[in-house]
Amino acid sequence: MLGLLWVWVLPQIAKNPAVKKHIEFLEDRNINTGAMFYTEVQEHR
Amino acid sequence: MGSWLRSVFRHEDWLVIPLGALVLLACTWMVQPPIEPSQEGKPKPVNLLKGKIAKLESWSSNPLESVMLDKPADGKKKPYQHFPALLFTWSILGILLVPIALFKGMRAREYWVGYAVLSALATLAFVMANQQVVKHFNLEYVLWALLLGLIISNTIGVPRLIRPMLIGDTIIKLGLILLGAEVLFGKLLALGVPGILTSWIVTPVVLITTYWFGQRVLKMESPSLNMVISADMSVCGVSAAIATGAACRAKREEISYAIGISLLFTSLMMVIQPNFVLWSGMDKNVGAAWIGGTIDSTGAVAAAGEILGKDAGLIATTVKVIQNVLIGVIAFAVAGYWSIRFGDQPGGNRIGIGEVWKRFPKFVLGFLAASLAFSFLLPALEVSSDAIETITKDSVAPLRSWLFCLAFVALGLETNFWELGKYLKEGKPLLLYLLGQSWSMILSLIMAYIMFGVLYADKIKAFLAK
Repeated sequence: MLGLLWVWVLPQIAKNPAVKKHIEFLEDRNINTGAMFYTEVQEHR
Repeated sequence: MGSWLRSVFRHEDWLVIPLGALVLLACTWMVQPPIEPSQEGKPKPVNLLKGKIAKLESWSSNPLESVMLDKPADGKKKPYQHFPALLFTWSILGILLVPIALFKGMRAREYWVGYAVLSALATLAFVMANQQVVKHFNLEYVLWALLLGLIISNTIGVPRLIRPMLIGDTIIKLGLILLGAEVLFGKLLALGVPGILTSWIVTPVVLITTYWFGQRVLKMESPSLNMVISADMSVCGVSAAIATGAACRAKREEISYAIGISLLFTSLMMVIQPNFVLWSGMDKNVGAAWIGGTIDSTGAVAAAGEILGKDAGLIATTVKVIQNVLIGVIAFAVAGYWSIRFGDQPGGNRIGIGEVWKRFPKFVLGFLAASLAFSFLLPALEVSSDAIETITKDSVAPLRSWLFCLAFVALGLETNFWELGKYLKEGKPLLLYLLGQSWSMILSLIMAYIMFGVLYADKIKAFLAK
């Protein structure tokens, strides 16, 4: 069930225009939303 | 070897301190003086470990994208780019944890098989956490590490060979010593007086009053659960729950519960709060400081602040960074308070300094020493701020994340779902979180308005104009 959630349900949600737009908005600004501490906030590439 | 380690270090806390110091020294040693010109033209120090500690990429539909390089220079995704880093990280951590295994009297087979299972599950937890939707709702890797462990231990069970490796509590202590190096006191001054007052007055007031309310009014059965919830809600979410949980020796179920509840409400608040600020027409700087002071998790604050605009994003994140620094002081204070107030021996008699010292979790001293060394000693030794930044961000933080992830897989594997279920059935912890969070929102809004909207409004605008 977990596998189905991750490889099918969540990717479908990611395709939703509003969610996609929000994800792109944050990714363009290089913000790591999953950061636990401030040292992880800006993603270094 | 194991008996020698036990005779020298006596307690695991005394072992994790030199281990943590060794890691921090190695991370510092791997940074070389500036030779490489940066984009701005200013030479930057070279961190030989940068990119060597695996940090998986976010992915949308194919989990394998998490081990590919997301934005390479040539614009093409290279398959399995992160595999060398993964192999390096697994190897480094595997070697690092050997002294702990010897101290605990593990056999080589128990350790290496147990470690292989933990690292495989930790990697899977990182892959799960990096799914774009999961990541953008701030559902951090610790949640998935715990969940994977919980599912396995409560369904198929944990094989006997792996059980000795379930040393999540000890791995957390090592991770916390590394976290200490990330707690830089210089960050306090980033926004000047308004930042310090917004974070350092409201946060302790909310923490103390919520804890008091939980003990006296709600009459919470477990003071340690009360403290962990009060700290994760008032300070900085998961990291505060881990640090204070270890400092007050909270049960693993209590830390797991507090983390779960914090992440759930963070994912809601990071959407609701910035939209409320926009809808209400509140001054964006005030709204940003309010968001920084109340949303638990740092990543969620950055995302929520950015919705209000670039300047607001900077204010929200900086207020949260200042609050992050509080974690060191709070962990130390909680450890001290717990050593005086709650010990192994019952009774309310005054205890001597010797007894307080005996009860005090010594790893907290390592945590504090790491923070002081990176805040004051390294700058005094003329290590540049750029060098300290790359040590903490590119070496220490990813290693610490892996340690926490391994630790939470182990904690999940040790946790009985029915024990955790007791907290879910009982309404008091949830009520404590909700009332505490509401109290925090009111106080933070008042302080943010006074500091960022009235007293220092012009200074903040001038700071942003720079």
